[in-house]
Amino acid sequence: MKKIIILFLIISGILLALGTNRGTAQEKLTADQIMHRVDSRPIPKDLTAEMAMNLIDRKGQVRQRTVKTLRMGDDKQIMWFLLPADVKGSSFLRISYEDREDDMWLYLPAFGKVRRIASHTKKGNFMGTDFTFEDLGDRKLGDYAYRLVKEEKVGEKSCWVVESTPNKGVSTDYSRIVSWIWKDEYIPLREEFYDGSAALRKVMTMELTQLKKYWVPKRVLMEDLKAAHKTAMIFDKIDVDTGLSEKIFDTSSLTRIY
Amino acid sequence: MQNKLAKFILRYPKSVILVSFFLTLILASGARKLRIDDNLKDMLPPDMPVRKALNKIEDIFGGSDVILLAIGNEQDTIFNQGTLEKIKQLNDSLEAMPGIRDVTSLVTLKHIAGEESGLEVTPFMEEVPQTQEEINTLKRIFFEDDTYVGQIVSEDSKYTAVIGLVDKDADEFRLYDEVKALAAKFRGPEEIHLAGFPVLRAAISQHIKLDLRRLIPFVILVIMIILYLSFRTFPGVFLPLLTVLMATVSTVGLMGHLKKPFMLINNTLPVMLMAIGTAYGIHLIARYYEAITEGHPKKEALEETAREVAIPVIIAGLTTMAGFMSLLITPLPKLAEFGLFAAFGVFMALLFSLTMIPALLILLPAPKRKAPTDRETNDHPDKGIFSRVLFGLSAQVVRLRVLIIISGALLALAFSLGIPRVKPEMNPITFFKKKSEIRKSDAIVNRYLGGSVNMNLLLAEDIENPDVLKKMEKTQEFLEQMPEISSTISMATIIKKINKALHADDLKFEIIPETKEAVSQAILLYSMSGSPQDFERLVDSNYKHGQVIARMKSVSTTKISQISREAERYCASLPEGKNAIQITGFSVLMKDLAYLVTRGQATSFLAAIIVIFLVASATYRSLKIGLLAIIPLAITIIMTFGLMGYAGIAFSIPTAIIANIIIGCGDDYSLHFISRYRLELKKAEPTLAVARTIQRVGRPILYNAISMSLGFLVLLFSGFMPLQFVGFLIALAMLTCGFGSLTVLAAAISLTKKRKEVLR
Repeated sequence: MKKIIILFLIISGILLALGTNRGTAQEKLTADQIMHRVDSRPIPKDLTAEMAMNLIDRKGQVRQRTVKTLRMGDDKQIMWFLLPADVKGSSFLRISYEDREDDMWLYLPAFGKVRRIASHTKKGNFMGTDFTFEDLGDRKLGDYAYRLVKEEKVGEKSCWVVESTPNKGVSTDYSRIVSWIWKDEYIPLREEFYDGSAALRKVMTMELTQLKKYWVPKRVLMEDLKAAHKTAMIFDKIDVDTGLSEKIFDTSSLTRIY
Repeated sequence: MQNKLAKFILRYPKSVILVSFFLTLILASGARKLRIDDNLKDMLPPDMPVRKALNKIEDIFGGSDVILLAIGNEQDTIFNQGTLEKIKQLNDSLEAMPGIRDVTSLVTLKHIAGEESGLEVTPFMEEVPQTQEEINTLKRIFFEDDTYVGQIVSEDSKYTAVIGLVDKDADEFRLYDEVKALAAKFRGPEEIHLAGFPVLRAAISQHIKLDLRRLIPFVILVIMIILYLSFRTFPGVFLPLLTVLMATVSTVGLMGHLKKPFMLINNTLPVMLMAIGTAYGIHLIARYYEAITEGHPKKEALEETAREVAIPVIIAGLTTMAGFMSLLITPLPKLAEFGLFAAFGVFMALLFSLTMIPALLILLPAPKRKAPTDRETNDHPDKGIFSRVLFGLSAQVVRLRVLIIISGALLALAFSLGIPRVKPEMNPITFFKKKSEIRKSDAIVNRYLGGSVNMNLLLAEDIENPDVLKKMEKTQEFLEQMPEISSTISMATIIKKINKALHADDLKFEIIPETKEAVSQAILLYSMSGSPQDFERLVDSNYKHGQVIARMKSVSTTKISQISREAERYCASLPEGKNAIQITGFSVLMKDLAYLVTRGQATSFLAAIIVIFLVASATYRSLKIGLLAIIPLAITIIMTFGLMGYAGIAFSIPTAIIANIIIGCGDDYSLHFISRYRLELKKAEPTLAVARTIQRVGRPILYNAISMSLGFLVLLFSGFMPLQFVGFLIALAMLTCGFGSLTVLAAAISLTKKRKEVLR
């Protein structure tokens, strides 16, 4: 009986949230409601793009890698390296699951084999960028407690500033995360990550572009303040909902650029 | 000239005193701005190739020196939860510390492991293990990996290192204080030792202050005792003391005004200025008391004093200044700077002695009781053992002159054989006493953790090129053969590990891959789980510059020279690539510094002795007298450096000033002797004149030598070994020089046949 009541409450909560989606800026939302809408905003079924990953060191020197990437939802991603020439043809596949660790494979033409990569290190950095796997993966809604701090503009865009604090037992690098959430589209435009000693460790900023009915990232910048190192991910030739086949997201696709 | 000045001073004594105090006050006010900083790095001229290479390394990789914390003790293993917990906390605290670029420890270092299909990069100890089983696993993985055994954890697991790369712009003093506080917080039952050049440099600068606090009261006490024994009057003690104190604070104040750092070598300044400057006051007051005893009224006595001693005192002061100023021609700007400040200090001591002392004496009542003076006691040669010795000496010198000269020459010859044994030593660890904490820590780090000194080899080439990596590999293999080098690391080390891991940890594949593609892709694979900062200290982000870091024990400068010379020769012999490998690091810098100090010593010593030769020749219009004047100096210098060689006293920056002090001060004895001899020669034939001269000047010369020696011996209370050596050697040299003037010089001068040659 109890379970049924809880289920009912959850479902009505979701319905309520969905019903009030696309609400106006004036409406009073709780932090939890805001984050729920962020979590449930519509995303493209699939996405195709060329992505430049620029690694910028403290002296401003840039090391660039360019990949072609395909994504399906949030849980399947494949990428082929285009630049620099020495790594061209290398490729990467990642498949996420709700209930277990991600599967990841890497193909290196100079070594010939498709290799599986251990993924249990959530704190590891992705491709030598300033993004950890944790930064790139989705945060589970229930893992955090939320607090609405204030309302503030990022550029021209009005935002809610929401603080997320991890619940006990949640494995994370951060002691808290502060997000600037664009009221119109429920997308974080800026996030500040605080480390174990409560110091501001990293800052992420995002520029968006509108494509069909979606707002998708055009440029994502992650700055590691402690290491004085930055990564800019710049997206080009973006397309969405092109009806990609699920078959592409397989290790057999790694050895040839799609 | 001096009469007019004397009259002026005696007419307006209060104004003279006021102006002197005012001048001192203005100069001394700079002391508030004084910065105590013994930055050995700045010692070397900036255009030296090694210095340039080091700047480049620091520019690219952020820093080159490390602070090493060694944690553990002789009894236990570090593989227990308590110690591991401390390592984690020390690591995290150090990482958060401003001025630390990155931290290398069990927590941050990563284990690269191969799996059947892939590669795994994991920190050895990201979280502190909670069970004995986890601890055992950590230990097993660390020792199986083998890369960092003997560097991060000692072979016997007794000690572990947490190493912070110090940012090139870090405030090393503050950093040292913070690291010291951190170590104190976590100490016990584990020992925590600090090592590394930044620690040494900061510790030296901190000790400078402590050292001064100990030395200054001591030297004041010694000077007061000397003055009291000389005069037994209040003005006799306090007037010379006042002038040297004023000269010292003026000099230190000037350093502050000019924003020049107060270096280790400057610790000799107060002692030196006080020992040297007091002599001027002693001369003046002694002659004044003499004149009073002879029955002159105060003013007349002072005028007589000015007439008789002003010129000799000025000459003594000027030659001492010349001795210091000859440091100007060393190639080391900081040493030249020291020479200038020391000369300035001597000038101030001279100035205040010649103005303040007469001005104060005319204001103070004349001494009522008779003060003992040189002349009085010398008239009765039977009084006291001192006089008996001098009398005996005066009787024998001429008779035994050939023997004396031959023994002098033989002695010089015997000691000169020790000179080639003098070894330069710039390693700052040798500045500390053997039993000091810092030496003990250094010994532990050397013994258990492979040392805390880095030698850096810079390559400005495409680091992803397999040929370049192979060149690095070969260089590393060569370096690792040397017993002093405990380990080396470079991108070649990392690439080999990744390659091995890519082939399921097959040792056959711990080699550099053949193609650039393979290298780049190996790095890409690593980057899947590593972080972008993992290689920051080995390669720049564009892979255009890389370095080999060789970790070594703290060794002597001689050893460093040998190691870097061999490494240079090896790198030059490598066929691959046209680009030279530049070898640098603070230790290598010290090697070049040693070379420059040695070369500078030779030139500044020659300059000083030539200056004295010219001064003596010009004063007495005879090259022969000029030569005679430098005889005792030359013998003393040879004996001093010979003694350093035989006694194993290393040649360092502080000891580099010894020759200049000896020449600048010791010349007074020869000049004093010669000028008196000329007076006596007018009244008697040479044999008698020599005997009379010895009787007349013997006492003041030996008094001066003894009081100077006592003053310099205060440096024995310094905490720095080189300063102790300076004190000991100069004390000995002053006595040698004084005694040499009364024997070898006396014997040689009596050989001069023609009277007119001396009298000209």
